[in-house]
Amino acid sequence: MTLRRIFFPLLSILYLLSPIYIAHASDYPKHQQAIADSVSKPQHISLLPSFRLKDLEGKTVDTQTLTQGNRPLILDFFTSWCKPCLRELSAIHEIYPDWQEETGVELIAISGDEGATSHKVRPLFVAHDWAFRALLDTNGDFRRALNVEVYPTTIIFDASGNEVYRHTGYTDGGEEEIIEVLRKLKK
Amino acid sequence: MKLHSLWLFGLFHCVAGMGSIAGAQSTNEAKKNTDSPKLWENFQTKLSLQTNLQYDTRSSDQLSPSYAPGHWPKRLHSNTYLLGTIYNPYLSLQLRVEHLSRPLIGFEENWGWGLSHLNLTAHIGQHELSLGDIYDQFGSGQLFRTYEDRNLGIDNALRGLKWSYTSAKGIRLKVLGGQHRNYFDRGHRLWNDQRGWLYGADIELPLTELLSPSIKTYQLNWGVSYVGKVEESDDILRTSMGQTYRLIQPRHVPAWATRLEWNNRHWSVNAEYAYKYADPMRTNDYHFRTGQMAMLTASYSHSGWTAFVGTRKSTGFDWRSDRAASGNALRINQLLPFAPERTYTLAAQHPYTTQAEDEWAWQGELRYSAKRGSTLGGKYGTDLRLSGAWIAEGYFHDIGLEIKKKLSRSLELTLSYFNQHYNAQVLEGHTDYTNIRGVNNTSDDGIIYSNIWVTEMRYRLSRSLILRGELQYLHTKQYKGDWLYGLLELSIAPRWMISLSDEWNIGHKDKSQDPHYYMLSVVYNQSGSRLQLGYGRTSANINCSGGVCRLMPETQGLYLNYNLSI
Repeated sequence: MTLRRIFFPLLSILYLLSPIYIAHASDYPKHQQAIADSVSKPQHISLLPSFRLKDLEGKTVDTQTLTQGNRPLILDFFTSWCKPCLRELSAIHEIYPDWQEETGVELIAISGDEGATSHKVRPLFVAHDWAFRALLDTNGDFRRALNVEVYPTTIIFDASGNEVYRHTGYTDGGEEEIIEVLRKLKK
Repeated sequence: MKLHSLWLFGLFHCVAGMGSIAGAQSTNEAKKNTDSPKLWENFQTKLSLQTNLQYDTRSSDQLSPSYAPGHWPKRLHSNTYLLGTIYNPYLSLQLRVEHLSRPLIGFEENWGWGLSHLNLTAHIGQHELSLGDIYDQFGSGQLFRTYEDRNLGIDNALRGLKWSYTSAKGIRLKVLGGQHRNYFDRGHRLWNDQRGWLYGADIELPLTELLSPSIKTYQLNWGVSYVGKVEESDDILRTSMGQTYRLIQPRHVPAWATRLEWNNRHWSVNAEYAYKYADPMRTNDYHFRTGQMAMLTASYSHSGWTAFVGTRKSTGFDWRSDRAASGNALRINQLLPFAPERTYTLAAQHPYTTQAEDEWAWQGELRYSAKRGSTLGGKYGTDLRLSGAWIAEGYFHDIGLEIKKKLSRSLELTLSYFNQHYNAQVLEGHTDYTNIRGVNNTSDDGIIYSNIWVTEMRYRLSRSLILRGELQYLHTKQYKGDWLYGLLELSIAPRWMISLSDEWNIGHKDKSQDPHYYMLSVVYNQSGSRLQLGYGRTSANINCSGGVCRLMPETQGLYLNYNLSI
């Protein structure tokens, strides 16, 4: 069968070539360092998978660099048409300056809007004056890698990049639990 | 079966091979720099489980026919997905097991169970190599997109290989090839011989960084994609003037697209154009014609108010990897509906479905947030949103105005109005609802004209108790007439939510049918898990997400949804 004739030689070649490919890994720490330096002082290895997502200004960001700010991080997976998501972001927006002052936390909103709908995310953020950074995960790659299945999902990482808390859905007042987790991290 | 095992064997060896080399590598690395990430360490594991169960409580004669013999109880339906991911900065392995032995009502064609998704990806420096089932899209996915949408039972993952490279300056190149998944129709085989093969490449250039890196005021990106489909001919016969002809089908169908994206402080402009060579297939009635798609969107954002407008024109742009495919199966590209996504139940009763074969769509959105203390804003501020879509030749039209205002410390009010024209003749191919929806009551031109009013209120009873209510009214002379919808939802922060709703067809004429579609549900959330238990009836509706729709039949029973993500 033709498929077998193509597939198995290809797989064998890949297998045999993998040492050469992996050998390039020696460049990896340098590359990682370069990215991290441009963000802020790295203290640890990134524990996030690497995907390249665009921010609202069209610049590409490597998701591996997100936990490298040496501060707690909240990833909030949302879509522009998900009402509980927008309520959660609005609620956090109200108290975000206090949270930042108290814990140094950064919130990055990950939009799951697809296709041209993702072009509406920037207007949404500007209209509400939301000061969060937002990234467009238009094909759900980052969401899938972190096993996020429901909008909204909120994940908190400590300053070392370890996931310490995860919550799905939003009920009003749910943001209180987030700040409690952040306060515990500070201790 | 044999091939399937070989596939797993191959993947295992790839992982093992990389691992053994990585082990040696990481030892060397460890000597050089103790802080560097190591190739075979720092693995993270993630697990998620999603199960949707339904126990059908209708009388025996209304039950759906049994298509899955065996021990599975007759009234029990379920869609269950288990997903596991193991990754570190270099490697990631993801696999998914699906169990749809007797899927939920409306998902019958997804029937099957087994390992449906397996992917191994290596990230080394600026390279990424992926083997197995691949999800990706070129640009906004209008030429090529593989994705998963469980609510609609869609998974067209490409089984094959992908290589991508990102240069230091941000140039991004992707090359991939393989074959689509279509539910469980591959059985234990690696691929299905009955459908075509896809290959493609995409390059994106950040022009600002490349040409004048000093410019910080705007960002310009340019991308080009190419996709080819290789599919053997089928025996398709047509009779004309008493003669029978065998249709000529191209074995190789190429398509390409280009896009430009420009952003500055206030403006965002996106333009995209795609061209597809002729590919006669079932969805275009085997016409030998080329396809084109052009899209332009622009938005202006200024603190407090923003505007968005867009237009898209497509002809002959439905594209499948099997020319005999229909419905939602085996789409190569995805044209999302060029219309706002409505979330209120009655406003979402007639959602627009993209007509990729022939469509000219327009949409716009205006948002305004009146600041606190301003005349319109009052003490707490006011949010206004005007959104609309218009599809040429009377296919569809939807205008919506929403006003959200916080009236006091504990009370928030949202008022909305929607005006919709839905051409059932074009969008569903019929105006006769007697077969599927009970009453034949459509206008002569096949259009359902409806006006919808929605009032939503949120009232904070105490620090952790919030009551939310919705009252919706849909007025139409067509289809099943007027509808009324009411919802009461009590949130007990941060874990519980109890809701009661009723969708009431007050204009119904078929007295034999119960016009009430009620639902009582309780939701419990804790860290990564969410449990929802419900009892009630759901009306026959069109369930849409991301431009793809599925007609869901009426159901009644006990529903249990469980999500766990750790």
